[in-house]
Amino acid sequence: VSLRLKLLLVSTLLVLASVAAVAWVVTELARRAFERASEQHTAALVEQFQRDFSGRGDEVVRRVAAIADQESILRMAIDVSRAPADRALYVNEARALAAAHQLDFLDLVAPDGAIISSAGWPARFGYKEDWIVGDANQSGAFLARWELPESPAIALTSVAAVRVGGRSFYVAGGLALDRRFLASLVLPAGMRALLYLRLAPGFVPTDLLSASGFVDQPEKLAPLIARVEQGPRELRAELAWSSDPASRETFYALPLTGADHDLLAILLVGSSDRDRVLLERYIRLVSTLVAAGGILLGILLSWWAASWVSRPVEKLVAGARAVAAGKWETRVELDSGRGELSQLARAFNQMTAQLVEQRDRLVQAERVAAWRELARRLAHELKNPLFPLQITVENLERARDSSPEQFDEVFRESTRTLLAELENLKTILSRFGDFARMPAPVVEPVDVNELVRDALKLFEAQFRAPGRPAIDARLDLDETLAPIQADPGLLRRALENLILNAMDAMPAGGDLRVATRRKDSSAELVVSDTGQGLTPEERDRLFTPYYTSKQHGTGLGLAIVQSVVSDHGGKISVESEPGRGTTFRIELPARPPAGPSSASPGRASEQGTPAGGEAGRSAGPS
Amino acid sequence: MKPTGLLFLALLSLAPAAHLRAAERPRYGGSVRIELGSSLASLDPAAPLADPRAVALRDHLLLLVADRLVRYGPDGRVEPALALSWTAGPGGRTCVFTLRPDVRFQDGAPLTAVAVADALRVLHPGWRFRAAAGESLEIGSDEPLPELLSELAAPVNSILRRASDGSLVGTGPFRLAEWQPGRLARFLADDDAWVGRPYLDGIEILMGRAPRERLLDLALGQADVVALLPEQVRQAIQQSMRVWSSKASELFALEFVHGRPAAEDARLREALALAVDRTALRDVLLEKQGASAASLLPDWLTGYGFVFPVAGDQARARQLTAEDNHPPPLRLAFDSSDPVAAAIAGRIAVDGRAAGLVVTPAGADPADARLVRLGIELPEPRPALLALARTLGIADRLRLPARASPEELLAAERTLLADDWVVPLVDLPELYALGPRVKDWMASGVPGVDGWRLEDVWLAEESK
Repeated sequence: VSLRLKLLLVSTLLVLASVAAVAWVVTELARRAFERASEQHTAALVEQFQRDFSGRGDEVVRRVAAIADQESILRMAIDVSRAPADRALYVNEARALAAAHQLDFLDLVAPDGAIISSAGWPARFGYKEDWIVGDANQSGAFLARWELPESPAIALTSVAAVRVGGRSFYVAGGLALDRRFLASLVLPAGMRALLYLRLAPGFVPTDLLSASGFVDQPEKLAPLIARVEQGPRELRAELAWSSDPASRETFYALPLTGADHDLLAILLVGSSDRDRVLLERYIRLVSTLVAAGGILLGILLSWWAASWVSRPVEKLVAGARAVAAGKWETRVELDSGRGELSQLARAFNQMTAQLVEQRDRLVQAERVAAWRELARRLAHELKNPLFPLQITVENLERARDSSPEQFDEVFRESTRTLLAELENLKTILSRFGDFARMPAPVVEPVDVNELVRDALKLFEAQFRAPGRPAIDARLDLDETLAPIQADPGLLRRALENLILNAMDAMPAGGDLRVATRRKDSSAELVVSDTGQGLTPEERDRLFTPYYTSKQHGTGLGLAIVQSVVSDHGGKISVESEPGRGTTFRIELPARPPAGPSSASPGRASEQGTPAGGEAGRSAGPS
Repeated sequence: MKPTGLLFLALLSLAPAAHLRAAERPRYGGSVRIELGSSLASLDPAAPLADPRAVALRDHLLLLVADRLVRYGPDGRVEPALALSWTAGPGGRTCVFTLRPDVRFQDGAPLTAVAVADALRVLHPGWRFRAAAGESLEIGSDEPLPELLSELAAPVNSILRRASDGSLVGTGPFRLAEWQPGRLARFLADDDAWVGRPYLDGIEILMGRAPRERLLDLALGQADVVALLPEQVRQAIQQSMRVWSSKASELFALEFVHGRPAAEDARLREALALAVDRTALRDVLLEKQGASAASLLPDWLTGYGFVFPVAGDQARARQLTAEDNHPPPLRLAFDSSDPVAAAIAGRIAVDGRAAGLVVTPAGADPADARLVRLGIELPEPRPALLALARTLGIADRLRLPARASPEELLAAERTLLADDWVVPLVDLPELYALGPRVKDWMASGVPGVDGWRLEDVWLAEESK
């Protein structure tokens, strides 16, 4: 991930986090403020309701008392007390009285509890209303259930007694708890009051009233009402009328009980969350816009910051990559300054300069070392034939001085020896010349299996040579291996070097295994022996030219193998442990990359290694 | 004191007596104003009517403008009217009526057998009519007509004809002068009526007036006769108004509707029949202006009404309801425009609930039961019972011989009331309050007998 992207992400995250934090804080504060306001409104409304309730109760008490104090009621009581009384005379009395005193319900009740007249249900005359007699001692107004023709009603009720001749007649009147009552409550904006009249067991949707009529989706309030009924106790609950959060409403339920503390109605004060949700949405919208602006600004800032910060870093990265690619002369040019990056660039340039200097010194040292090694090899190689030359010449001089008669014989013998040794010197020099003249591969389709078979045939006689421990050669060829594009001569030369190396590694005999494998689009060639194996130090220097662990090697064999493999675009690796033999793996592509032939001579000349030398017998430290 | 002074005093003392005598003598002139709660859209007897109050009003109005061939006399027997005599044919399938001569309709057309046949043919398309010599009319049928005379005595069979201007004219003492359907009917005296010119010059009838307005108009002298609700009777008496009531002319009854689940529950029907407190209906709702009824026909008509027990039995009703194990709710329909019906329906609901039934009064169908108001139109038990049974749609269950004895009538009525499909509740009379200037209000008070008899009424002079 680039520094520019990192900067962008960091700035975006910072903007988002800060905006989200501000939005959350503002939303939370708004929510708490709304909740406080809602609680205050609810409390005020409940208080207002209780005040109105109490006031209406007083009004009911006053009106009922006024009716009870009327002369006509007293006359009625006296008349009904006489025997035989005709109560039918007063059957319509309550209706007129209720209308005159603005009461929704009014019952005139005889001492035995029988209704003389009922304004709410005139037809109920004669039937008993025991609760009126029972509740006559209530000092104030109370909630009571009134039976009506179509359905019962709940009313704020008062009962007054009229004493006549030691007997009590009763006047019971009430104001209904209904929509009119709800409509009379003054509600703040966003609040409403509902009234559930508990007229029948279970939840009855039509008994849930609002000031404007019935309530939509009344069943949603059923659980809250059921919980209040279980108490009864004051409860608060939040409802969602739809999937829109703005439809949420918090309800405060206030149970309304009768004289016997039985639950008759429930006042539900609803406080809409709409304003709060809309404010939250507005805050979110503003936050989103601010965040979007912040992100845009962050992009611009990060772009500028990245340009300011990351461009030198990118130059440094490019420089480091160039160095990694071998261009040690690479320099990073930055504006002169005293900043860390400028110091870093200067240090980088200083480092690459030192690297180049050290490389040059190392090359020079290696070159000197190579020449020394070459000189050592040449001295060693040349010393062997020179010593017999010197002996032979000295023998000739001694023979000429001491026994001239045998001089001719000695001369002939010495001449043969001198020629043989000179031939040996020529051979040594031609090997070095061959290595120096490694040709560029000329590719053509090559059947690797066939090439392996041909190469092994060449060595079959040596594997079974008399006087030498036998080497058991084994082929393990993949017949599905397709021909590859390669130079057959170079490839064969490399293979022969590996086989010779293996033979040298097994002076006491052993197993030689040559295998081929198809590996994706490449061909793999494996040469294994069961010789002494290599030490780690030997393995590391194995492909170094002129390095050999053998007594009579030139150190060019495996260098030639590596050069051939490299020129074909392939890879060579070695696996070996002391005492467990050595395995060389060569992986050759089906088609070598373009221009492989130029690599080997270039490298050879760059390393400054003199040409020549047969490698087969010089490599093979195992 | 001087003799002239004494003479003056004597003459002065005689003056009020002379004035009183003059006021009590019938006098011609004046127009009576009658205000009613019921209303009528058309006077045409062929127009079907469902509301018995409208039927009763039409009967009254028809008897003002028209006559029947025969009529019921005060003793309940059929007597001649437009027909002077009649002769029944063999098998009771025909009857020949001899028409009263020299009778003319109010437009001047003579009363002929053809005109009578034309008037009756509209009402009885199954009858055969044969006019002969302009004065006799044979009415026949393929079936025996044992109730022919009773039928013809019903006000609905008044003889009317269409005048050239399309108005209905009859042979009665008053002719229709103005008709505003459902609101107003104005009649004028017919100077040429065969029964003689009535005292009144005219009659103005206001229909569909509210009870309170009627009583107020009477108290203010803006009306002379007003129909009363039972609950207004006491108030009218307290205001020193004259109150007149007829014999029971209407019956309130519960009629269960066949096919409705609640109505098909026999226990529920019996429980509700037992739960209803008829005494409370009579004494309180009707303020003793009616009679508890457990029979279809009123006691004044049959004399056996007492045989049917009117007392309820709440305990038994509750027991039946308990046995019924949650009987279905019952919807009770009643005529919401009828305040008496509304009060009775409300009380039935209360009584039903006290017995454990859920009875809901409702102003309209569908209903499991209906509170019906049935008119007693004839003063004879057999035709009256037949008419009631027809109205209730149970005439097929009525088996009555042509001349049924009281026992047979009783048995027939018991059969009709078995299983409580119909539960009689209360009989109700017609109630009127009369203004002070209305004199000789001599209505028979018997349904089907002469109606209001406004031809005999006269108005006292207004006191100066």
